[in-house]
Amino acid sequence: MNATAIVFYALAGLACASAFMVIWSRNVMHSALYLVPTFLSVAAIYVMLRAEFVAAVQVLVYAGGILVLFLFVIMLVNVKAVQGARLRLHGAVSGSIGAASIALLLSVYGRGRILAAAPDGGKLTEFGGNLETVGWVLYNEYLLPFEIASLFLLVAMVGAIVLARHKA
Amino acid sequence: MTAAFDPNQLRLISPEIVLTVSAFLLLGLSAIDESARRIWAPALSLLACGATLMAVLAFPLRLGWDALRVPDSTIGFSGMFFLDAFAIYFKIVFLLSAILTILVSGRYLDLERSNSGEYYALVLFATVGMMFLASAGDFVTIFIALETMALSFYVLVGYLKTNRKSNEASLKYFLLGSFSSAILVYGISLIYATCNTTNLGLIGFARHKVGLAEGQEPIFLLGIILLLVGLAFKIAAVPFHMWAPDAYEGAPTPITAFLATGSKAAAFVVLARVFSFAFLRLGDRWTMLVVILAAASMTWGNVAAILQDNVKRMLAYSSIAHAGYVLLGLVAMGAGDSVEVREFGLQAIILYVLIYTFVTTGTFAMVILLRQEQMAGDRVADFAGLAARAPWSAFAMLVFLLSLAGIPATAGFIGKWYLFGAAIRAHYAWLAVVAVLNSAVSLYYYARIVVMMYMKAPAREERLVSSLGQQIAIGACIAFTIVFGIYPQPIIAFAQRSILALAPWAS
Repeated sequence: MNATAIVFYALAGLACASAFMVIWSRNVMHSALYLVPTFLSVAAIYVMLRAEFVAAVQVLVYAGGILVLFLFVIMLVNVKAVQGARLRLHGAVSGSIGAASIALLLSVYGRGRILAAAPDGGKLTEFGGNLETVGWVLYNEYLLPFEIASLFLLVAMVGAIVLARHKA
Repeated sequence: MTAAFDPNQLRLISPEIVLTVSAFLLLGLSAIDESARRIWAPALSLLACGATLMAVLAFPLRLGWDALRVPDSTIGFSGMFFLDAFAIYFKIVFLLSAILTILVSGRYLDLERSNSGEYYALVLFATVGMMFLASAGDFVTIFIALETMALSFYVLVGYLKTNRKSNEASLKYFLLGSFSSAILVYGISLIYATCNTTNLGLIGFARHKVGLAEGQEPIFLLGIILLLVGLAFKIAAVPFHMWAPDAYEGAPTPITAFLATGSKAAAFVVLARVFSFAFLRLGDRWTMLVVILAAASMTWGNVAAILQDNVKRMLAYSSIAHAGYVLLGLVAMGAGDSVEVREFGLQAIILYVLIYTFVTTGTFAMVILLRQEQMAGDRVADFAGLAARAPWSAFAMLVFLLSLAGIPATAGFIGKWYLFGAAIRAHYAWLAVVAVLNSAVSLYYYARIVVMMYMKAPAREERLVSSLGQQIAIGACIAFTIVFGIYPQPIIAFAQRSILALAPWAS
C-alpha cells in the first residue's frame, strides 16, 4: 500500500463517514454542516485525479453555493429537530434503494468496468494541467457564451432586486 | 491550442453591445433620478433600439446582402456566432417588436402604478438575448442566450407585484420554463455525447460525413426529440402549452404582446437554424413529430379559444394555434423532397413570424388601449359598443382580427397562404386542410369580439384616453397589416433574400 492509496482511503473514509452522519444526525443544521467534510474530501480526491478544475468547482459551487442555500432554507423555514423513530417505512424503503444502488455499483466495479474507463490525466498535464486547458478553451473558443453568461447573471440580479424591493 | 482572441470580431456583435450598454445606462439613470422612470426611460430605450437597428442595418448596407450569404465572412467567435442575412432578418424583427412593446408600455404602467426604469432595462436585456439567439451557431450560445431572454421574461411577467394574477403567472412561467430548459439542455447533452461537438454545422458533419459510433443513433435521435420538446415549450405548442394561457393573462399586457411575438419568434429562429443546419437530412425521422405538434396546436388552440371570456386568454390560445400554423413551415423543411420546397418552408416560417409580430402586437395594443383608469379592459364584454365610442379604434381592432383569421387583403392572409402552400408542396395536403378548417373555427371567436364592438350597446360612455406612443404603435401595426396585405412583394423578397444565407445547408 503506497502513500497515494493511504491518502485516498483516508479521504474516502472521511467522505463516507460524514455522509453517513448527514443522514444519521437528528438536527437538520448538523446534517447540513456534515456535508462540508464530504464535499471537501471529494474535492481533494478530484485533485488526486489531476482534475483541479473540477475540484475548484466542487469547492466553489457545492461547499460555497449549494451548502449556503441549504442553510438559508433551513433557517428560513425554521425546521426543528426531526421527531419520531429513526427507522420508519419510507426510511426503510429509501435505505433499501440506496443499498441496492451500492450493490449495483460494487458489482460493476467487480467486473472491472470502472477501472477500465478511468481517465488518463497524463495528456492534460502536457498542456499545463486541467485548469489551464479549461481556461484556454473558456476564454477563446467559448468567449462569447462566457460573456453572455455574465449578462445573464446581471439580469438575474436586477430581476431579484426588482421583485424583492418594496417600492414600485 | 487555439489562436488568441481577435478584437476585430467585436465588430460583429456591435448591435448587441450598443443595446447592452444602453440598458446599463438606463439602470444607472433610474437609480440616480426618480423622474427618469417616467420620462427618460421610455425615450432612452426607444433611442437605444433605434441605434441598434441602425447598427444591424449597417452590415447589409456596408457589405451588401450578397456578402452575408458567404459562410466564411460572417462567422465569428469560433463558430459561435453567425452574422448572416437570416440573423439580420430576425434581429430586425426582434427590435421592431421591442420598439412596439416600449411604445405601448408607458401609459399602461402608469395606470398600474408600476412604471420604472428597470422595466425598460429588462425589455432591452430580453431583446439582447433574442438577438444573440438569432446569430447563435452553437448549442452553448443558444442555451445561454435563450436563458438570458427567458429570465428577463420571468421577471417582466411578474412585474405587477401587487397583482396576484401577475405573481401566479410569473411563478408558473418560471417553473415550467426552467423545466423545459432542463429538457432542452438534456437533449443538447445527448447530442453532444454522440457527436462530440455542440457546433450546429459540425453536428451535421459528424452525423452525415463522419458517421456516429455504433449504437449511438438512438441516443442522437432521443436528443433531437428532447430538443424539440424543449423548444415546443417555448413556442407553446400543444401538448407543451400549459403555461401560456396563465402567463399571458397575468402578465402586464405589453409584456404579453412581447411574449407572444418576440419570445415566440426567438424560439422559431432556434428551431429554423438548428433543424436546417444540423438535422435537415434527418427529416424523415422528426417530421412526424412536428406534424403531430402542428395538428394538435392548431386544433386545441382554436377549440379552447372559443371558450374564453378573457381576451388575453383567448389570444393566448389563438397564439398557440398560430404556433401550430408556423410549424407547417418546419414540416415542409423536413418532408420537402427538393431544395425549393425546403427553402419555401423556411421562407414561409420567417415571413409569418414578421407578419405575426405586427398583427399580434396591434391586437394586444388594442387591449392595452381599453385599459383605462376605471376599467381592466381585458374581458370580451369590455369591447361592447366600441364602434360607437371610438370608431377608429374599433376599425383597427377589426383589421387585426381579420388578419389573425387570415382574411385576404390583410397581411395575415399572405402569411397563411405561404405556410399552407408549403405544407401542400411537401405532400401534406391533409395538414393544410386541417389548418384551413382551423382558420374557419378561429373566425368564430374573432367574430365574437367584432359582434361585441359593432352590434352591442356600449356599457360605458367615457372617452378612451390614449398616449402618443399607443397611437404610433397601433398606426404602425395597422399600416403594416393593410399595406403588406395588399402589396406583399417587399416583405416576400426580404424573406427570400434572408434565407439564401442558409442555402448551403439546405441542399
